[in-house]
Amino acid sequence: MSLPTTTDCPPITDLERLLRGRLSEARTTALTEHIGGCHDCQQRLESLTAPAHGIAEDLRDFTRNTPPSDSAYWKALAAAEENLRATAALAPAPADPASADPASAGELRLDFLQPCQEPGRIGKLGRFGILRVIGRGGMGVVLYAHDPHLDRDVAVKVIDPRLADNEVARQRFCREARSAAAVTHENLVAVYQVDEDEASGLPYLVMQLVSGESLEQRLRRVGPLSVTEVARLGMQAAAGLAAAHAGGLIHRDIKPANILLEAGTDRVKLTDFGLAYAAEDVKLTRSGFIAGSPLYMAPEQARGEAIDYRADLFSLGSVLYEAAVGHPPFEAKTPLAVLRRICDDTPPPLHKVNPAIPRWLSQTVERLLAKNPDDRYQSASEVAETFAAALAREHALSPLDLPASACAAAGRSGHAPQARHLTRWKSLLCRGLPWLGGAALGAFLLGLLWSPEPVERVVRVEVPAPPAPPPEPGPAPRAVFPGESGALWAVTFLPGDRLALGAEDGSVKITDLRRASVLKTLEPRQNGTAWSLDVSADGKFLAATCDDSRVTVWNLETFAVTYSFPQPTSTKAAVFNPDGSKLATGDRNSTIRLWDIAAEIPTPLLGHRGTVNALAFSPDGSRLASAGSDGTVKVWHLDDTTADPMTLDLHKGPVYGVAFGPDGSRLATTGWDGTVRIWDAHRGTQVQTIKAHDGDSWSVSFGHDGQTVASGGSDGFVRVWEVESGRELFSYRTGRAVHVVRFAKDGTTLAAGGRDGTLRVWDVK
Amino acid sequence: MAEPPLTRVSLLARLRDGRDADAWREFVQLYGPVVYRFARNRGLQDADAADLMQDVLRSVARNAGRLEYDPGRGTFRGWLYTVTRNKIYNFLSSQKSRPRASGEEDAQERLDATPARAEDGPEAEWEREYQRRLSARAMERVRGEFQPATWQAFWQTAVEGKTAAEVGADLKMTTGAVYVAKSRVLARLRDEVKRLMDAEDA
Repeated sequence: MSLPTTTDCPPITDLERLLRGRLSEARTTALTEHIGGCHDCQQRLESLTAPAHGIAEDLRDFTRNTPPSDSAYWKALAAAEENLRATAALAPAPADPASADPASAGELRLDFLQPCQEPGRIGKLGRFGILRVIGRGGMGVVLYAHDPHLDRDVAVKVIDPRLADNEVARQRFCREARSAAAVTHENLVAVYQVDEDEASGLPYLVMQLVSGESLEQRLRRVGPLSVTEVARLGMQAAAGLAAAHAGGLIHRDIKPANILLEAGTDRVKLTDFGLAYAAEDVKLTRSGFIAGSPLYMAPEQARGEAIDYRADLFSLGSVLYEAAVGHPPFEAKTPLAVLRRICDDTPPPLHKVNPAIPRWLSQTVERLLAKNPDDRYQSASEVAETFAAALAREHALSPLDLPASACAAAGRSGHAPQARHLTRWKSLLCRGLPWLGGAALGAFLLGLLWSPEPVERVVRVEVPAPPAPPPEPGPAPRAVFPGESGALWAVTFLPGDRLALGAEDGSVKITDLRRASVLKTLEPRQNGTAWSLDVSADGKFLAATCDDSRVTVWNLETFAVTYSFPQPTSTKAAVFNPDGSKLATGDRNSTIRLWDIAAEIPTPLLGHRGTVNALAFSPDGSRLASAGSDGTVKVWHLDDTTADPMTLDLHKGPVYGVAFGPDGSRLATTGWDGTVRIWDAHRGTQVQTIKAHDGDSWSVSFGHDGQTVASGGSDGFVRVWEVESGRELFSYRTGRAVHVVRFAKDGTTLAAGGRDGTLRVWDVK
Repeated sequence: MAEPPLTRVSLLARLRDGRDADAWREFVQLYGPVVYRFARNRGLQDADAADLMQDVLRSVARNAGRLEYDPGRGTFRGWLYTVTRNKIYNFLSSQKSRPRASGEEDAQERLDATPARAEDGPEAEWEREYQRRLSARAMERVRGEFQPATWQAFWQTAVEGKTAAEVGADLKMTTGAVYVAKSRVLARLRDEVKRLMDAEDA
C-alpha cells in the first residue's frame, strides 16, 4: 500500500474524514502538510465548512455583546437556574392541601381537583392549574389558578359540592354566572368563562384576578373612610351596579366582602353577582348559606318578598353607611333581630353620628336606605351621577375619574332614564333573562390606565321598544339570518356576496347572502366579543379584534390564520389601509397602532384618552380617522405621524363610529349623543348634524357614492339619511339595539346587526 | 408509531419530566440570554431585563407540562417568543402608568421602536438572537474537546479574522495545521448547533 504523495490533492471524502478526525495519524499529517501549501485545498476546506461560518460570526457578536461582569444578568441567570432546579427537585411531591393548611382542612374539600405533577400546583381543574386557595364564601371556594392557554393568572370559583347536588342551585349558578359574563364594566370583576369540570361535574366560574383587598378587609384595617373616599366608593360601586342592572343582573348580596379595591388604584370592583340567588332555594340552615348577608339586606329581601334592582341600592346604602362611620346601620345580636331592625328601625343619619360628615352625603345614604323602594334613588346611574357631581363640587375628581354618565348627564336633554329602566325591569322580569347563551365578554387588563369607559355604554344599550310600536318595522329585508352567537358587533362585506360576522361569543362566521347559510366558522374562536372585522381591499384577508386583546388576520382563501398577535389591552378596532400594506388598531388604552404588515412593526399614534372605538382610512390611504370615548374624532396625517392630528370635538360624550366618504372629502361620525355628524374631512368643519337616534348611535356607513349615510342605534332603528339635507330616507325597527351598519361597495346593499344577534340585509335604492 | 431514538430525547420532553435538573440547566443556559438580550434590544434597562428574564423562565417552568398537548400552538421557541413579548408589553405598559422623568421616552414607543439591527421585525430578531445563543452554547460545550492551540487557531482565524500564516507564526503551527484546526472546530460546532436544535425541536 503506497501513500499518495503530498502533491496530489486528496478526494473530498478524505477532507471530510480529516475534519471529523477519522483518518490515520500518518494520513492526517500528510494531508495537513499538503493543505498548508495547496491553495485549492484550502478553498475546498473553506467551502466544506461554509455552513458554519455564520456560527463564527455569531461568536464574534457574542464576545462583543456579553454583559459586563457587574450586570444584573449574571445574578438573574444563576438565580433562575437555582430556582428552577429547586422547583424540579420538589416536583414529584404533589402538595396535600389538607396538610398544608390544617386549620381549614375540614372546611375546604378540594377532592374535586385532579392531581397535577407540575411544580407549585395543588391540582388541576379543567385546563387550569390551581396554585392555591384564595378564599371561601357561602357559595363555594375561590382558587388562584393559571390559564395555560392565555398564560395568565385567573381566579376560579367552584360551586360548593353540597350546592352542586341541588339541581336548582346548580342551574341558577350557571345561569347567573353566564349573565355576569355578558356584562363588562371596569367596576365589575370580569367573568371570563363559565364551565363545568368534566371529572367532577362541578360548575365553575373563571374570573379576573384582582389584586388588592376587599372593603371588609380595608375597613377592618384602617377604620372608617374619609368623605371623599366614601363618595368615590359610592360612585364607582353604583357605576358597576348600573352596568349590571342594565344587563339584567341583580346582585342580591352587596356587602363589604363583595366589594374589592384594586391595589394601587383603589378602583372598586364588584364581585359575586347573583350568586346569592343560586343559594336561595337551597334550604340550608348552616350559616353562610343564607341568601344575602342580613346586615346589608333590603327590607323587602328580609321579608322574603320579590325584589328588584333597587334592593341592591339599599344594600349599597348600608355599605356606604358602614364605610363612613365604621359600623353597619342595622346591628343586633342575632340575625333575626338584624332583620327586624332592617324592617322597622331608622338608623341615625350619618351627620348625627359624626358631625364632620357633610349633609349631602348623609342625605344621599339616607335616601338609599329608604324602606320603600319607591322612595330610594330609582337607578344606580342616578346614584353614580349624584356622587360624581358631589366629587366635582369638592374638586376631588380628575376628569379621568369621571364616569361619562356624570360628565355628560346634562348634555342629553329630554331623557327620562329612570322611567326607561323601570319599564325595562318589568319586561325583563316577565321575560326572564334574554341572552343567557352569551359567552364570556372577556377581560379588562389590570394595571393599565383608567379608561373612561362610559357608564351609558352599558346602561343605555338596552332600550325598550317605543310605547306604541308601529305595526310594520319598515321595508322588508332581502335576507335575514337569525344568529345563535349572541349580539353582533361586527359586520363586513366580502367579495362574492358573502359577509363576515363577529359576535359576542367571539365567533367569526362567513355567510353566503344568496344561499342564506353559514359557509364557515373561522378558527380559532376569539376570546371575548369580536368587536370589529375588516377585509383588505383585495378581499384576501380578514382582520378581527376581540375583547381579549388579540388581533387575528385570516387568509380568506384558505381560512388559515395568517397572523395573530396580542395587544397590550382589549382592542376595539382594526382596519386595513387601501393598499393592504398597513393595519391600524385602536385599543381601550388610548393607543392607536399603525402596523407595517410586512415588518410587523407598529407606529403608535397617541392623543386619545380612553378607548379608541373605531378607525377609518381615507380612500387614498393618506389619512386615518379615529373615534374615541374621550368625545373626540381625530384625523391623522400618515405622512407625518409625529404631527398633531386634526381634532373634531363637537360630539357630546363618546364617539363610537367613524367613516370616510368614497372621495375622501367627507367624514361621518356618530356616538353616545345619538347624532350623526358630517364633516369636511380636510378642514374639520361640521357640515351636517342629524339627530339620528334616541340614545346611543353605534355605527355609521356611507352609501350611494357618499350621498347617503346609514346609522344604527340603541333605540333599535336602522336608518339611512341623505347627507346633503339630513333627510331620513329609510327606517327599520329591529326592536333591539343595533350595533353595526354597513353598506356594501355597491352603495345600495345595507347590512345591520345588533343585540338580537340577527343579521338583516336590505337593498336601499 | 415508531419510538423516537433515545439519543433524540427532546429538551422539551425532559423539561416536562419536571425532575430533570440538567434539562433545566440546559434550558436556562440556552434561553435565558436570548430573553435578556431581546429585552435589552426593546429598550429595557439591565436590571429590568434581568428580572424579566427570570420571570419568563419561571413562567416556562410552570407551563412546561402542558406543551405536548397543544402542538397546534407552534414551536416551543415560537411560544417562548410570545410569552416574552407579552411580558415585555406588560412591563412597558406598567411602566407607562408610573410617573417618569420628563426626559425619558415613552415606554410604548420604546417597545415599538425598531431596534438598530432589526431589518425585518421583532420575531426575526428573536430568531437571530436564538441562533446567536445556539452558536455560543455550542462553543461552550465543544471547547473542552480541543487542544488549546487548536482552539486558538480556530478562534483567531475564524472569529478574529486573522490570516492562517499570521496565526501559525504566533502559535508555532504550520499553515496547514491552522487550516485543519479551524475547519475541524467549525465542523464540530456545526454538528453541535444542529444537535442542539434537534434536541429542542424533536
